[in-house]
Amino acid sequence: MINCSIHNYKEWIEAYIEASLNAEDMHAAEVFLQQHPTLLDTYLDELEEFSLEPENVELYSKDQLQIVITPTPHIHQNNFTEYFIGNIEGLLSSAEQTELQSFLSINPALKNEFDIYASTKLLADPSIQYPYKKDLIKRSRPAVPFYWPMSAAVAILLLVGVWVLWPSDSSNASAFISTHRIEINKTAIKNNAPEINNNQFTNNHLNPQKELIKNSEGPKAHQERSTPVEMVSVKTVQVHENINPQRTVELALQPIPSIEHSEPAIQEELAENGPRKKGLFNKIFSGDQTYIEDYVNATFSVFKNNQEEDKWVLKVDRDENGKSKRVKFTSPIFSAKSRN
Amino acid sequence: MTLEEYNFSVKTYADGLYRFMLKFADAETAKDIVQDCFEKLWIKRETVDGEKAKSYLFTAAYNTMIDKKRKNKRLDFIESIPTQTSSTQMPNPDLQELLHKALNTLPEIQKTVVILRDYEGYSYEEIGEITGLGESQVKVYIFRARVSLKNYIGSLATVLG
Repeated sequence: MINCSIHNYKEWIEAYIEASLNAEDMHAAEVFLQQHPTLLDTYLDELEEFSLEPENVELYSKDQLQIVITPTPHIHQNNFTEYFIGNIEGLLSSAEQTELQSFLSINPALKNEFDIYASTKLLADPSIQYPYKKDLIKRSRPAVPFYWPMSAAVAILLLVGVWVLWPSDSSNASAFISTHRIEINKTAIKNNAPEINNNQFTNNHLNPQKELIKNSEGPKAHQERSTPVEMVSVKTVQVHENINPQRTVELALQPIPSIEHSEPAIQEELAENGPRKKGLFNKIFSGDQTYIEDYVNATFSVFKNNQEEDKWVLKVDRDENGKSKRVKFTSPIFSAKSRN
Repeated sequence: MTLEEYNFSVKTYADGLYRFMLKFADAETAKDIVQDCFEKLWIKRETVDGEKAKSYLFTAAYNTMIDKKRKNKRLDFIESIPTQTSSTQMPNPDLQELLHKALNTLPEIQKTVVILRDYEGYSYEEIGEITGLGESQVKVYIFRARVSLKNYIGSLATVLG
């Protein structure tokens, strides 16, 4: 150990002034200065300058630096983080939230940490939007104008195909009902046809329910062959059409059982062919005074949707006695006849 | 799923799905993934319940993102994410930017679950269905993510403070 001496006192005294010596060396330096008063005078000024009076100033309180967590019944220093996160996650009950607020109020030092946890909740930016949303939308409407005509065209083609290619066997044919307007132009009158009582004809008591309209063009017209003398317009007639190449058209009118005809042939037809023909004849030849013979070879214009669809000519098959046994319609385009 | 339900899904979930993907990929990749997901949904519409469409979309998006990442390791989803610019004023934009940076420090699974939780409000069970995790695993990952985000924000606040 090196002692302070006359040979090394300068270092000792400088260290003493700077107070860099330990307590034992400080004491040794003080003893040396007291033993050498001349040196003490020499360093007195420096000793006075560097000597500091101790101050009793506390910059920090140790209590302030320490965090003491005061627990609540359920929240303490080991689980408060779970409560902080649970609060963000929405996992706390109302009672737990209340307790957490109490915990924070008695532990204000943790409020900052609580706030930082709360700020970890991510917020979606609503201004960021997917730019091609419209392209993802599927629309049902555009498909309609594209497919509907095709479907309609296919359906029409199928119908036409069935119409043309359907076998002639009417028994296998599908039947449907359509509504026709029939105008009957009496263009020909058989020579053996009875004279028509025009007054009776024109004054015929038409049953409105039978939808028959008769337009008389004058009595003279009846007497001229191939000259339209009158037109009978049946506004609406229910027509059963069997779809086949011959297009057998059966005027299946609603039966009107009460009809009576004085003409035996018609009565026979009615008896033979039942109510369907009764309806037919009733529609065409309404009234007791009208004879079927008046309309043999008459042309019937068949209208559908106000457009002439066809022309039918009334024909009568007769037996050897000249009695009519079959009434049928013929057409330049197709055969139109009564079923029986 | 009907046509109406599909279109409802587009209008309702496309933006959220896009924002979700933007956290893992650049804008172009995110757009592609969103489009792929809706195409898958449309193709599978006969078998997907309309009420499950959102879950289906996010599951598909998550799986697509994982697949893309595995197939193309060079495609660094995280580093390539551009800083999102917003036209609207988000609350505390500095904090949101800080959070965005903090998110990218998280492990991918933690990032996924916390985004699904905060952005879409999914339950732990739903997040588990999307990511293939158990409910308790989801909860643990979210708690860890929160702690990591808090430490990141807290340390940065201390340095800046």
